Amino acid sequence: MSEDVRDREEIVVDCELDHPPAQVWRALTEPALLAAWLLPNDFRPEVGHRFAFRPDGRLEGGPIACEVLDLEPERRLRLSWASADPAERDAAGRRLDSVVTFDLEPVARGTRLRIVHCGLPASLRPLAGAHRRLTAMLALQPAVRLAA
Amino acid sequence: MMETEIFRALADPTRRAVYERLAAAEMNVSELRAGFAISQPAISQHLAALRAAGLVTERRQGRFTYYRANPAALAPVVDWVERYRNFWPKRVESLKQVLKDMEP
Repeated sequence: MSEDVRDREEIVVDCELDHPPAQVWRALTEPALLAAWLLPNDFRPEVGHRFAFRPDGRLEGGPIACEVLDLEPERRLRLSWASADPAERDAAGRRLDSVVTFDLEPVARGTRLRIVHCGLPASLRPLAGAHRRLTAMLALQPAVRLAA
Repeated sequence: MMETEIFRALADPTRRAVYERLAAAEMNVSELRAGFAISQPAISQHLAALRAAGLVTERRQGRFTYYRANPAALAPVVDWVERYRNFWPKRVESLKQVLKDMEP
């Protein structure tokens, strides 16, 4: 098993599965199977189809509004992913939209599956790092530069 | 993908550089301008966009206004990542079980 979640702003899970791409594709695109491992949904395998995942305890928060962006049988599924949860909003109150890509590739063992959940334009990644350093600094020195 | 106000505000490289400088230290407009080859009105315009997105806050002192980065503004981005970093590996474990249980 070689699962690996790296990078904080783009979430990547890369793994090898013991089943062929055709079977993994069914698990990704048949609503009942998709519900069994991901979340309840009204997915249809059609580009442009809008649907929702309904969180049920496996993920907190309200429904996730999705659209099928790309569909290449047994190779790639790409979905837009936008939580309706008010907690997932930016300072201006707008939704934090993201994109989830599932890439399948046949390998000797079965299928290599790579899931990339991307919520930030690549150019912003260094900034989120700067933000964390800033937050850490402010936590250590809460009164810094506030004195007149 | 619809970009949020934060992403739009930071899409401009100069504005991003302004934000990064203000994350390092609080500054007024002339201190801030020192590092850039652009006019003071242009800097002010970038500051206005950053303030509108909640990324920068201002503090008036005498005849000067001081600006600094607001660490809370990027917090939803950080929370978002924490949430899904835990979510996907667990879902993949469930997927493996579903694949095992499927009729061949």
